[in-house]
Amino acid sequence: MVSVEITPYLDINLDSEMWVCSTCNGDLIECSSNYKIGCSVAERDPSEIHHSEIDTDYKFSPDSNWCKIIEFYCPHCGAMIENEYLPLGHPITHDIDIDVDQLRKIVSEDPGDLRIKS
Amino acid sequence: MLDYGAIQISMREWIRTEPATDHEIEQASKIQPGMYEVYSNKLDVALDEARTVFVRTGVSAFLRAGDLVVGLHNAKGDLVCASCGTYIHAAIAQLPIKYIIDLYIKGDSNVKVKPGDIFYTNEALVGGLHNPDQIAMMPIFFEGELIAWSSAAVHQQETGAIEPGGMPQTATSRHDEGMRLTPIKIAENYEIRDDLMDMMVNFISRAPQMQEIDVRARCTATDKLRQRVQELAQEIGPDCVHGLFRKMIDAAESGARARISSWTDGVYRSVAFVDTTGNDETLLKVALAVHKKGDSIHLDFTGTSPECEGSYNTYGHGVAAFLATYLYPYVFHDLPVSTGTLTPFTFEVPDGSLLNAGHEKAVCNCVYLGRSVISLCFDAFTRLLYSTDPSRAVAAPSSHSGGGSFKGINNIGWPISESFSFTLNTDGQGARHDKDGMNAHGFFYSPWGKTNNLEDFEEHGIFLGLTRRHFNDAHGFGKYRGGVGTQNMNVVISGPVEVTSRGKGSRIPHDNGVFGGYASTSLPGISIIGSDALDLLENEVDFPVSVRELVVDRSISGDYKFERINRSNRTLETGDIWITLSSGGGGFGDPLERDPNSVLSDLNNDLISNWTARNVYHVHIKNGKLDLNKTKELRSNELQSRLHRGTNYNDFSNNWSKKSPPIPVSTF
Repeated sequence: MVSVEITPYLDINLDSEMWVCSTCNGDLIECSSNYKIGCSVAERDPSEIHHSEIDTDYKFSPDSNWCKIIEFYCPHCGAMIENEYLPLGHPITHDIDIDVDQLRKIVSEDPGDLRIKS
Repeated sequence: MLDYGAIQISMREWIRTEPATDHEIEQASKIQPGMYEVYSNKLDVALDEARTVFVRTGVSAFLRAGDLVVGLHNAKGDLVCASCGTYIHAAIAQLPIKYIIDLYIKGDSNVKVKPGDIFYTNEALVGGLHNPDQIAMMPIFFEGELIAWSSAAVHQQETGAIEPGGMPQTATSRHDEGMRLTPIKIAENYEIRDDLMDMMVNFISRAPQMQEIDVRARCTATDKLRQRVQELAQEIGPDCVHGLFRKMIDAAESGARARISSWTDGVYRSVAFVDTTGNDETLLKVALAVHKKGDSIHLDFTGTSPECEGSYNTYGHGVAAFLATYLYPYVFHDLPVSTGTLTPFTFEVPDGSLLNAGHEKAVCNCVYLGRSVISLCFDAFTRLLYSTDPSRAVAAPSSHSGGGSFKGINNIGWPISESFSFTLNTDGQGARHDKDGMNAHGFFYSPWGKTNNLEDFEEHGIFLGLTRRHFNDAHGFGKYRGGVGTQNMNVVISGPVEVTSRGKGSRIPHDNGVFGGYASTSLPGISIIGSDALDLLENEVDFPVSVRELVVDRSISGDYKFERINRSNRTLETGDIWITLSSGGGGFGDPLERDPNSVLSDLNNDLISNWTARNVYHVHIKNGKLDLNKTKELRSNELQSRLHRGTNYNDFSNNWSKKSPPIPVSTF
């Protein structure tokens, strides 16, 4: 098995071509897809994270009518892989779209600074 | 006649390095080992000297803080190297020089470029970002040949716009923004022209002395560098100077391409949202896709909202300046500040979008839109960089803080227009891959700048500072937290004074965290009208110096106002309190992984609240003591809660896509 560390919480397994949770080694989804599709997803009210002592129209937390925090967890262990602050209903961002063929080529020829897990 | 459309196209093309001539290539090849290091370093020292002269001869807060740049350009205008200050002008100071070359050297004009000339501009269309940016440019001749240019740029607080302070929140077109000078020849034969100085001072009559002193400071800096370059040409000959410049630009480009080559190919995306046009609330989107392939990077801003009716727009060349602001301090910090480092980058910026607005649009608050672009760069590039170079992976710094300006009469009777520089220069840095972001690290547009001392601010005799301290709970939480911003509370001691504040994000923040770290929070604009603070001080009655405590405690009486963080111009009277807040940087990593001892330390240092320790970090602290066993249990429970709380992506999307914000996202 050859896995490459892409983020602190995500590896790409080049054998299975899967996104893998680096906390528990659980598979998420094919690495050609947005890893978020393989996550467990939750909508959080900003006030659950950002405390405000006042409840005026403008306060010390984002406006929950305008945006929510979308959290992406590993469905196996619950590690939070990523989150996004989005206006209600806005599409989820496909933030990491690796050229896997090129990655495989580099790993086989000269991995350089890539961190390989065998 | 000015052809605005052609100018805008030229500006985007002129970001790139001009092709090398055969003569330059030949002379570069003759640079001997050791010569490059000695003479490129000599130029860096000359630039630092000119920057020091600049800071010491000017007077306004931005200038004194060092939020400026001095640049050295080759004869074609390309930036060879610079001393910063702010990196934002480093990428674009060459644009007005190329404009001058195009019109007054290559073109058929009765304006000629001669030894001893200094040109001057603050027209954003030809190279600044917005008209507060005033730039002096001096051609450098040696034995009759134009061999180089020097430039000196710094933001001027006053522009003669419809509101004081140079960045009116109510501006809706260029006609609301005050003085906008296409390049004029302000000095001839080494002397500044009185008539043009008087013209500028007349435009900037809210702060005439500041304008005149700072114009002279810019010109002085360019002339100091001119002297040093001429001395170098005398020492090594002008041909060698051409070769040295070429080699420096090429070294910057090859260094940038080598670094980019080591990164993982792919597409990395981010989005940010802007909740104000300046005057109104809105929901604007800035989208970025970073396409990295080989040794090149293409930045595609397709999906960005159309230009808005307010002043949170920018011209197309601004995008390169915003990128440079991210790249130079974080990714290319060991490469020369030169046009060569930007050559591997190409840009796709939709016409008519927020990032490529028409020439009639107001752009005076473009830097707040630019903060969104910079946040996107941190966000997308950190995802690009982490797999090969985590040491350069950093979450976004604070980018929606509420700096601002004030206009009044100072203690020696001068009308002044000045900045709340402390707030601007004490934003929190984004968290890094192995440590927290730096608290109050500075103004991310100007990592080399410094905030003014309180005494400098109070010396004007208009405000008394009540609070300048870290602002708790406003940063992004994470395994490593964002650097903490500050709270700045001032009472008017000699009204009336006109004030305004700037920023965005009171509804929706976007100083994103990365890899599970949270964003910094939204902030309100707070003022206390008719306060009794001066009476309390006179009678030595204590009151909280924490804004969060004060708005609950209300031991200072008065009318507490909570508005958007960007507040248009209004008049304050003696006793009124004006509060400005800077938020913190984004967090890095899952907050459940933060060392509980670091959480306790943050709590003890008043950087977070008990509420955050308990509800975000799930750390159990009782009577000031950490309970690690209980913390382990709380964190295990939270992991289980996440699994119960989360649903699969498709179910989530079906439900989520039916929701909408009160104002739809602006699209084409």
